[in-house]
Amino acid sequence: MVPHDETCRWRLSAGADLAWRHWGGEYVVHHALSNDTHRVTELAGRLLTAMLRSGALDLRSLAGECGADSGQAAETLAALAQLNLVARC
Amino acid sequence: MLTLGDLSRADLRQRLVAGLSLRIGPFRYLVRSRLPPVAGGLANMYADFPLDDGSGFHDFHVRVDRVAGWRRWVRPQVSFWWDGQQPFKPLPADHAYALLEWGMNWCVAAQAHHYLLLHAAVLEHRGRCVILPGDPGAGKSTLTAALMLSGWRLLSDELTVIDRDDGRIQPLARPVSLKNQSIDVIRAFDPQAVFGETAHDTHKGTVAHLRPSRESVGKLSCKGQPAHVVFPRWQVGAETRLSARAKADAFMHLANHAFNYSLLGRLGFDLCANLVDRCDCWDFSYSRLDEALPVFEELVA
Amino acid sequence: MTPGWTQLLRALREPRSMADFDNSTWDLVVRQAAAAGLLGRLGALATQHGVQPELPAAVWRHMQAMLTIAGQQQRAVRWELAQLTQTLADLEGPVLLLKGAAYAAAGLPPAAGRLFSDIDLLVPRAQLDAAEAALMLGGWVGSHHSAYDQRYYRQWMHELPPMMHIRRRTVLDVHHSLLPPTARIRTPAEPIIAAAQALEEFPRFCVPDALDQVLHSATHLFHEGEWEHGLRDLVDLDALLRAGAVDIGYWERLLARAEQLNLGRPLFYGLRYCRRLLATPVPDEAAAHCPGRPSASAARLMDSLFLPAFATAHHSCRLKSSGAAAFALYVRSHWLRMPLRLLLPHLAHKAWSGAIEGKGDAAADRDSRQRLPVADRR
Repeated sequence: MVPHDETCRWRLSAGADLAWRHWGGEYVVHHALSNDTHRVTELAGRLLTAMLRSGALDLRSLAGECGADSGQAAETLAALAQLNLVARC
Repeated sequence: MLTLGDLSRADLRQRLVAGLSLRIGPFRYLVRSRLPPVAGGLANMYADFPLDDGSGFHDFHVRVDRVAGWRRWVRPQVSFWWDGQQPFKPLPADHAYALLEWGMNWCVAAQAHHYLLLHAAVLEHRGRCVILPGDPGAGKSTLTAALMLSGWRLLSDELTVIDRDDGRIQPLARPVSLKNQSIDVIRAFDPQAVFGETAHDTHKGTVAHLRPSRESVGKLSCKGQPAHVVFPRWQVGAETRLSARAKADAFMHLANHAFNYSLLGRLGFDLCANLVDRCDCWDFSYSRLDEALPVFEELVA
Repeated sequence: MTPGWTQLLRALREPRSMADFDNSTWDLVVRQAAAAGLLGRLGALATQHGVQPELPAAVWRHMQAMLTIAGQQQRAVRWELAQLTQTLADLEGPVLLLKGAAYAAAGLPPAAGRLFSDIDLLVPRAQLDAAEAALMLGGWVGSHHSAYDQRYYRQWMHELPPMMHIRRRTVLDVHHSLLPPTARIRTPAEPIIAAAQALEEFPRFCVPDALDQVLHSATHLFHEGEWEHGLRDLVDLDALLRAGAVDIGYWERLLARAEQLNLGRPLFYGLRYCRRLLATPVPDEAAAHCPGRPSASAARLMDSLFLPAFATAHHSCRLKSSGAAAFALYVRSHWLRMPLRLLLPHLAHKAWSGAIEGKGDAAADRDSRQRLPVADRR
């Protein structure tokens, strides 16, 4: 399991203007700034929409809101960061 | 109302020299050509299209003619011009009509960014449109032709044009382009079907065009309501099977195969997503037309 | 002035006149504007001046398509600048944006409805190597790898060979001066860099002062060999001039700056053709007192070249002399860029390598934006 800091705070990346749809356990997400479209897992979609709703959150709260354990959430957030969608704050 | 088919061949050729106005759905072309096969192809394929006087605004100015220079005489070549520019390399002269059709497609695909443009066929029955995105070789064109000949309204065989304001489908009702074995399959399916000249050895193989049905042309001013997206896959000996396809997957496929999804930015995403929202998405494998068609009938029952 | 494009020019000068155009007029104007890269601008002007509802629906659809593309390209530039901010974070000294990228990033008047492709940057000459190194680390790859082309750009011209981002496919042109060091007109880059202003939205980048933008636009246009975008570049210049002219003392300051930067000659032509074709409100005294202005007969000679060259945008506007004029200006643009001792061997080299490889002029490659509509990048 990837080591992770549960107090680490995450947010959507600066200026992230997202649109999304949720169909059958998957999300498609459009990032206006880069004009990239991504197809992401249920967990990834929930993490993004949680941050859309609540702004910056620490890892433990995010994981809790999305019904996942911190390890899974951390891994998913790292992947989303690679896509320029989220960032640590 | 006068149609193209009401013109004598001599009249048609004269109009083509000066510029023939052809309204195809929302687009008005000004077509020029001195080539008899082009006149013949248009007379055959667009016989039911209403005649237009040549004045006013045209969306696209196109021309197919022999190239200048020595290739005019030795293994003659023809080229397609869009407003004085040549977007493609010249082709052998006997591909002239096919070149016009490809060129007219290109005009829409490359420029009509007022719309979301999907690489898909679309037909309608009982007020519901079925969109058929097609990978090459998937059998989309054969299905499209067969459905049209069975009474379905053809909106388009290649370019599904989605209106940005209401998400509905703009019909084009242009000739269906068929390749290789599909041509024989459809000739056998309906011996009354009207084909244009066959072009051999094109970059797509053997190509021929099928005249759009009169009913399809008659409804050019009625936009369509999307209801289903069906991904066809023809395979020798395959069982006829319709199965649900995950919407996220369908969305990504449509987006990746649209002509201008990225160009439209957020609007492209919204239009594509709204389409997938309102449609049921399916995978369809088949090998026999007579088994395939009833499945489509049931889809829109 | 060719009758063939009177209506297009009228639409640019008085956008409200578009309300009176009939369908036959539009049948020509839309094609001319599209060829000149100005259809998006007509759309933006129609909206700004409240005439969009008067336009035929089919015409507006074409304009809207262009506005959509222009909007996407400008969004792409902003994203690119966001990425470049990180890539160039450790580079010392200022980084200036020029032309289209500057207009888009700073929301300047020429940006409305404008299409563009490459991003033009300017850095102090001393920082050129460091800039190139940083860009390469950031995924930018150089083009034009032949030893000859490398020398052409680096030694003689005023820029690195164009760089392309490996994933995003954007093209970057990095300059260290407005004109090549080999050019017949010498203009220093330091005053322009010193007067540049940082952008609020992208603090890593500056844009030239308003006066310098005018001078750069005029210099680029009247030293250029490619005339397909000539009218579009003139429209940019007109937009900048009109925006500046609202300030008192603007013209005096513009002429003084032109004198200081030794760019009076291109400014003279810029003012001349803006007045002539686009009715830009340039005061007579400004035109008459422009530093470096040519003799009346030289100006008339240039008229016979420039005016037909502007008209090459669309085949319906071309004059009989347009082809020859465009060629003459192409040769002139090279003559302006380098002394004869370099020019003749260079033209010979190009002709030779062109014959072997079928490639065009190294510098013109990146400008050979065909007039074909933009294709979807996916």
